[in-house]
Amino acid sequence: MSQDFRERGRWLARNVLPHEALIRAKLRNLHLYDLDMEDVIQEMYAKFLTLPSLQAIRYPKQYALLTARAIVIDHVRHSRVVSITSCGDLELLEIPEPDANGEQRMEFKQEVLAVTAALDQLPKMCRETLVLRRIEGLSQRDVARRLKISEKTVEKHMANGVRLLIKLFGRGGKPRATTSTTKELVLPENVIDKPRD
Amino acid sequence: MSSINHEIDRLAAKWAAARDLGSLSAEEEAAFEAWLAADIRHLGAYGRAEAVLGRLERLNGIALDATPDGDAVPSGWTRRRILLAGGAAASLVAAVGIAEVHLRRRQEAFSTEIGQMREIVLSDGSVVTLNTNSEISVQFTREARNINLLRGEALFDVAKNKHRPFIVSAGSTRVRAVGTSFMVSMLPKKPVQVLVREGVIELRRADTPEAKPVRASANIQAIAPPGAPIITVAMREDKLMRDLAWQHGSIALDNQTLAAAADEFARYSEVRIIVAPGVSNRTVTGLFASHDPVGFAKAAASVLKLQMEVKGREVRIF
Repeated sequence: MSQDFRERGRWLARNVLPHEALIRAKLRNLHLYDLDMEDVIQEMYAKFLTLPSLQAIRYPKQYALLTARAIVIDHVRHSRVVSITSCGDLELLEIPEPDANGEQRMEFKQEVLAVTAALDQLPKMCRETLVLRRIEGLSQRDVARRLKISEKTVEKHMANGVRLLIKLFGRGGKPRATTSTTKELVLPENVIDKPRD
Repeated sequence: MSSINHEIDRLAAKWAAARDLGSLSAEEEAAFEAWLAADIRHLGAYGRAEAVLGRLERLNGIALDATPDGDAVPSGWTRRRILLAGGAAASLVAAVGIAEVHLRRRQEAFSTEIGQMREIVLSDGSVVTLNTNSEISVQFTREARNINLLRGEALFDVAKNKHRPFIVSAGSTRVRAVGTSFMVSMLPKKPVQVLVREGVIELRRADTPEAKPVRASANIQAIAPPGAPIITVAMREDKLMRDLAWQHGSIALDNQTLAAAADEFARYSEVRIIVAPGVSNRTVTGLFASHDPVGFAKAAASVLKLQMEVKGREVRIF
């Protein structure tokens, strides 16, 4: 299982994580009422971990969007509290045609810049720990030695760094992202399926 | 964002860090499994935390320690350049410090059992599909992405990086690519074979380093018989597709003898097809499920008006 997590993690790193900000933007356009976007995003990732195989997925970005959309629709159907402005809005999640020339696989150069830009925003020790461990591939002990901290502290910095990167990558890695969180709730008059009691 | 999700992300990050460092005790590992199973959001958050780690790992090899000034890396992605390009540079340099270049050699191995197939995403984004009963080891360094095919057959879809060639070794044969798709097989009693689906590769033999490398492009098959020069053969696209049918769990036969078909099925299943000598030269054509030798034997016997019987782990055609 752990080997599989690693492989799936890599697959997600390459195919989904770089698009998470876009997926969020699309979800935001849906004006979800009382549906936590974080729930949808987490469920979407869970879906990729529970699929028997990722092999058949040819267009991961589109697939991720479809999955998020299906999760939203499912919530709308089954929940008494969730509603969306209008059904038509679901069209916003329509899947674009797969990009002609593999454009969807972010150019590696861009990818490097996106990752370094996010790293740049981490507290110094978090960043250095992550760089040494994950990019340089040092052992925990070597990282500790290099940074003159305890091994326990290495683990702490790493956990903290991953937590911050989850957020940064999620909003596209930009420092002061204008994508304010979930302010854009629906205007009441647009709600067709009002929460019942 | 709800504080619950914040908390889930925090825990996911903590588990991912601890598991990456391998610092979990058996009880903690059990606690982790229980946490994962408790809520679908936990699983998703954990997957994303793993993806964060994977995304960092992808920079490995391009962002190794500061390259000495005289280094001949051709304008590529040396750490120095990244540092100049983005603000992370200064801190990265600081992190690595003046310490000597530390080229770590991580090695990983992947294998399949008889009848299994497996897709592996490597840290650079290249994808390897292992056919039945195959094994590779992977070793990435700053200069090269090295793969060793130890047995069996593997399809490589190589992520482009011209500064870091992708080199597959199979016995003494070396296949070099920068960004392409090709299959390498090393099967018992057969010479090493390479099939190019896309792009161009370069082959040479480690045992005859003086010989000029052989280039092969899409739809070319290269065969490297031991102790003899490498041969290349143009292949029709339909033949190429047939040779890659295993990717979809199939065996494609085109006018092949029953004896050859039996050998092919033997790669995928413990059930043996035994063909009587008198009929072993009869030929069959078709697409068959590789895990179902009995189904194949039935179909072949019926088409060729032969008999078949199943006995334990053997299927006889006569």
